[in-house]
Amino acid sequence: MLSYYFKLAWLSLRKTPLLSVLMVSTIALGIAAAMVTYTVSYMMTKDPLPAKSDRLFTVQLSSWGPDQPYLMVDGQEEIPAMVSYRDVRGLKAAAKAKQETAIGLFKIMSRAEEQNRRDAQMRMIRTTHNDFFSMFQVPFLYGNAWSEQDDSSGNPVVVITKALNDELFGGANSVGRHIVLGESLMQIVGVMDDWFPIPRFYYLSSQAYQDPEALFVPLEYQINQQIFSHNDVTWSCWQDVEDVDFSVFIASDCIWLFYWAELESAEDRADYMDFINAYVDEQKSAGRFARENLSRLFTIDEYLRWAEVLSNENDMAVWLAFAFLLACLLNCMSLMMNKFYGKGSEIGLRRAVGASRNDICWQFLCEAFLIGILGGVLGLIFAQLGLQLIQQIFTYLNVTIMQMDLKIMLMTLILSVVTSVLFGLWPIYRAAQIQPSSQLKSL
Amino acid sequence: MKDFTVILKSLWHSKTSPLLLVLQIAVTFTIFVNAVYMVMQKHEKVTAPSGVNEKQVFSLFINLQETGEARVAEFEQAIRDIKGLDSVDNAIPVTSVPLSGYGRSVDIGYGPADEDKLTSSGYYGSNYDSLDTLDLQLVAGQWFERSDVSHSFFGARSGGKVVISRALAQTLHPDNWRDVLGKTLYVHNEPQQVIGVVDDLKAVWSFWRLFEHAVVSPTFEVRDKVGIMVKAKPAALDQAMLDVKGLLLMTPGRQIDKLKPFSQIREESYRTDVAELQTLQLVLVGLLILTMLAIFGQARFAILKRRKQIGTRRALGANQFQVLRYYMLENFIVTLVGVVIGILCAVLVNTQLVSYFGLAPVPANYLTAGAVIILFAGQCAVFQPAWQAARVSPALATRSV
Repeated sequence: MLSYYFKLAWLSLRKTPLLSVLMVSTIALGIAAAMVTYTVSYMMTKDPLPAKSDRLFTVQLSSWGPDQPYLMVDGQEEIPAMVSYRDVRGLKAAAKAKQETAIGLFKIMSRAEEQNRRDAQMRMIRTTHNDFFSMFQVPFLYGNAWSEQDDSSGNPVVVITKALNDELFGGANSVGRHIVLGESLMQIVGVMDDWFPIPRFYYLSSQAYQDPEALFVPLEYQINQQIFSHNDVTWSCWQDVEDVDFSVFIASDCIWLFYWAELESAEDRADYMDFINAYVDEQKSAGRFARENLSRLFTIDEYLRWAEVLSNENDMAVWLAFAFLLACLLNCMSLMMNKFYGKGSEIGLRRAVGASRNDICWQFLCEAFLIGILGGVLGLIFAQLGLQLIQQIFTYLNVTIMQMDLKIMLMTLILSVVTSVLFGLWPIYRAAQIQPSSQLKSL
Repeated sequence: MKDFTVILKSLWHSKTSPLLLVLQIAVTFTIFVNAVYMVMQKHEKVTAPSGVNEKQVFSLFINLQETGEARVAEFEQAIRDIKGLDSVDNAIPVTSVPLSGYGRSVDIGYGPADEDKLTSSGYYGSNYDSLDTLDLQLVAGQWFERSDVSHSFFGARSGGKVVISRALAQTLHPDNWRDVLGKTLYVHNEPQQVIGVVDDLKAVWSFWRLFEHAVVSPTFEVRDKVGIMVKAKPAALDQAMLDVKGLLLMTPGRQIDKLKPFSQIREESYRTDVAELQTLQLVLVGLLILTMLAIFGQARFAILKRRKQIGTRRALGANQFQVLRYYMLENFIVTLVGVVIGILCAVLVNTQLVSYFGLAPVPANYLTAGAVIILFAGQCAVFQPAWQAARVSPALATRSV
């Protein structure tokens, strides 16, 4: 019976092609607008590392000076998101987590060894520990992360991104070749494959939608070389360190590094927090950490919310787009109303020859369903076009933000069908009310 | 106009679908007018001139490796070397690069204390050559003498001279901005004599409320990282950038950062605005299409329903033109009601936007223009269905009555 209704529905759509096109394209337009904004919002706020989101933590310490709090927010003392090199050493030496890494940054002129001096480019260099790559599941195209040995002695080794490898070495396997940073020769040990964590959670929130830096070197290398780009990276001190040399700076309480720890399981969080508290107490007894202990652990999600990367304001555009969809659906509803009304005589005839109200309802439900499916498919096409357009507009954002995954595509179709059927219910109800006799007269 | 009352009666008779349309038009109009106005404002912002010679100027930052007096000499030599290149016309040291997002702002007032602060401004410490290098237009007063140039580590020394942008002068003296000439202005709490006004110079942040405020001081700042702006010879911008980079990198340990043509700085500075602008335009097109589809669909099916009625009218002697006119007029009335409600909503929404987001109120001519556009769009959308109606044969009426 259902296939008969679908056949009727299809015939009915064919009979008024213009109206059908109107209804389908109105729905498609609304669905496309809603799904384009939803896609962007969803991709920008999804979990960047779902496999580990409950057992990966950034450590924030109450290490600020005694005189005043780091920051007051709504009358509450706020502690910094970054830690000092001194505390990185302390935490890393205790090795309480399964894997842990500090994350810093500097800026220097860089070029491939083969390149001319004048082809050197100023680039941001990410400094970190080798655990970074396994903790954050960085895929490698060639080679690997550097070794423990490289970490502890700060060897001149470097991991580069695929994009930089393409730029400098034409995409060839460059492991073993050299990059010049400033005046030093660094050996390439690994080339990362495409890796764009969105949001980029592991460093400052202001850089959450930037692509990762092109070069990664061991933190100890930066320490050995005494490089610090105080004009170009974020750092902060509670004591005066004007014009002090590098060794004083890294031995101070100045903060400039993020610290991330991966635990065996989410249940270890309390134990690790106990360890952090014990560490703070130990520092207190050594005369540091004069403030009340507000130290804490943040998961990726907690950190991104605290740093206001994920906020409800992002949903504004999505709400607007869904309001637009509502307008489209209302429009489609009144078109259906007109259409089903126009079929009064046909309904009357079908009722007169024995169709029940139920049968009429089913027949029109099938038609609404068909409109929904067609609207969904067209909407999906419109949405792809829309995303292409958005990619043209937001060229400075990573394209992976503006791509639908399979889940969103399915959602688009389901949304389209459900809403068209839902908004068809009233017109269908009205159509089913038509009396057989009322229409027979005029035939 | 005898149709008018007939139309009103018939609309009143079956009000549901015209009412839906009226609401949709009102909502569309509200969004439309406000969005168009935002588009216009953004468009004006991103196309406004920067005041700087965009075709010939580029900027860069370098590190200085010496200390003390030797650092001053190192920087002066670097500037002299750059000016000596064939492809380079002129070069200046700068503390900030306009529109780049990298630079500083200073407090401005007619007294040294914090309470004397009147406003804020972008600050450029440079030297005598900045007028020529940036192609600034001096509109009042005079430019610096070469002897006015001094060195410092940070900011202008007290008792110096400054030139300010006209927008800043207008903020300080709204009645007659020329009054600022000769006054002693406290820039970052240091007294400076205002000797000239330039037409147009912007601060470094395009999103800043006081973006048009700028102070130029002949103070050559010699820190460990310094900015340089270079004016290339006409049509030699790319060559000049290569030459400057090559020249500077001959010094071991030299670092060059943010080497960019000014046109690129400008583009990057406005890219979120441009993106928002283009998105808004897309939204506007989508809205217009939707409304036209809605009007078209409604009209078409309202007319389809009334085929017999039309046939009867035709049979009673109405000509095609009269039928066409009837439906065009009907649509006009419905759209007009929508637009009138829309104008009320638009003004209401706009006053909210003004009070919450500090947007400028929409001028009345936008409302008028918006109304005309929507009415015109409505007439376009209804024309085809009305034309179809006009062609209904009078015979149709006689068939099944």
